[in-house]
Amino acid sequence: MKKLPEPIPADIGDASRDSARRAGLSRREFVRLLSTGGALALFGTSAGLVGRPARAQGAGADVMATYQKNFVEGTAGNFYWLAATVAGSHWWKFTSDVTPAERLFLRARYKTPIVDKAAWKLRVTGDAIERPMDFSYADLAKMRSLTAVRYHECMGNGGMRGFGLIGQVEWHYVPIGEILDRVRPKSTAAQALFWSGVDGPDTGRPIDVSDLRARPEAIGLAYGMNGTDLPPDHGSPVRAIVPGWGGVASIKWLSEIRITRHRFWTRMNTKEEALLGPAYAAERPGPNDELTMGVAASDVRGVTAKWQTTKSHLNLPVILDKLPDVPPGYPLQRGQRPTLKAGRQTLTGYAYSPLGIQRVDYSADGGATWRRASLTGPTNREIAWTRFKFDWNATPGDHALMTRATDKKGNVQPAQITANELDILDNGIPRFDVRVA
Amino acid sequence: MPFQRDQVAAGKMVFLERCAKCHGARGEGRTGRTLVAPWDPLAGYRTADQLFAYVSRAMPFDNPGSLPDQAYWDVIAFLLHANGVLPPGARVAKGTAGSIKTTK
Repeated sequence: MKKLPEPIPADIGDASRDSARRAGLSRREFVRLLSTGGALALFGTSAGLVGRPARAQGAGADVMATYQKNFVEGTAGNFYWLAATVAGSHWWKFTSDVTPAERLFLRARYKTPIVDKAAWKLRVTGDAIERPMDFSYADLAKMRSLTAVRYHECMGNGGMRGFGLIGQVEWHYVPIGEILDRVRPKSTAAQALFWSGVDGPDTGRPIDVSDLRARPEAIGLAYGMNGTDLPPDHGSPVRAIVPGWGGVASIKWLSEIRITRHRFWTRMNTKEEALLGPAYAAERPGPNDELTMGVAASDVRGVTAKWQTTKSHLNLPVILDKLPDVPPGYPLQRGQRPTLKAGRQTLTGYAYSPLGIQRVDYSADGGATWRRASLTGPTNREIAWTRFKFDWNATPGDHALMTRATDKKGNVQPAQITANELDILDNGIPRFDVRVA
Repeated sequence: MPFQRDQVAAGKMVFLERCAKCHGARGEGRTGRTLVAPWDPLAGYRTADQLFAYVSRAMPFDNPGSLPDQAYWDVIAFLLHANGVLPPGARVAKGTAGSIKTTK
């Protein structure tokens, strides 16, 4: 990590406004939100925010937002669409170390909000800090900031959804330690709720304060990526980043951090982005814990998913045969294999783990025999991916290629993972069926 | 006697047309969550207006927010009725939804 010589000034390249213009003001709806401080109270009396002014009781962060009618305006062709707000990248086309913003996957619950940077505020509240504070964008821009390259991956990447839900980003961010130093959590602080509530009424996720304290420089509040402002789709003006955890922890369009003695159970760590199934004993909410909108105690059925797993993939599309339909924008029909030309060629891919990559092996015969691939990317960075390659003499016919990464702690990708209902964190050895002609 | 629109019946039509594909014709759940069951599956939303705040922006999954507000209110009325929690004669609408609970 290197320190930026200067913080990115608040007035350069207002990507939010540019994008808003591109999206077409006339086709979007305008909303002014006056959100309350309390997650439970948020939107409790202001149902149906899109397209009409909404006002809730009490003082709170003042967030202005409009909403893009369509997600990723103008770049839809770069993605395959797993849902209206879930866009996987065409990963087989990736060659670079850092992923350009217009090719970075998108996973959201709602349409993308366009938030006015000048009016944006981050409210830090809760019963377990000594000094509640508000931060404007200009306040953050004046604080100590860092730049770091991290891979960024959805909990759902790999497995049945293919490998489009990952990319690598150069984040520009204020380390969370700077915020904690100012608001001064008490010894009783248990959790911090990273809350948006801007894109939809229930978007936010808790993180243990001990996790923040363990990595005060790596976790942070990002205000830029890849050398410029955050684009709206990726959380403009400010989002959380929790490197190494599934993307859901890095709450976009952040509006509030609540640091409290109790814990939180949100949609995004219970019904979604949790490990559910017979292998996972349910966590138990405490009597004082807070259930945010949409969550009942009975919805806490598993374990909050956090750290990513060790994975690898080739730059080839896979057969997505477990999805109900072939996603729009995907190049293969159901059951169709990609075709390669016969002859000697170099195949490439990416491997990634929060623990770093030690080696990658590949098999060209469906897992019967394995050989070592060469690592071609840097391998000395924290929570960054590495590229790999190997030469393969392709003979006509059908072949099953596989890759198997080993992280720096010696964990090897398993043939199959312990099943979980949502099929998240699936790092089972992937299979790339190809036809050589 | 003034004409009384049957909101639950209207909501059922919306449900069958726009929601049943994922949630099942009786809300029993398919690729989408179970919405009708004896265990108060909508309990997390507590009141009908919270349910509206979510559903009207997140659903239908393939085109979120695409239905008119009235269709969302109607489908919520249908779901509450199907779960046996809609008070007899209650109309689910902006002004009333805050006091209509999603549990028995």
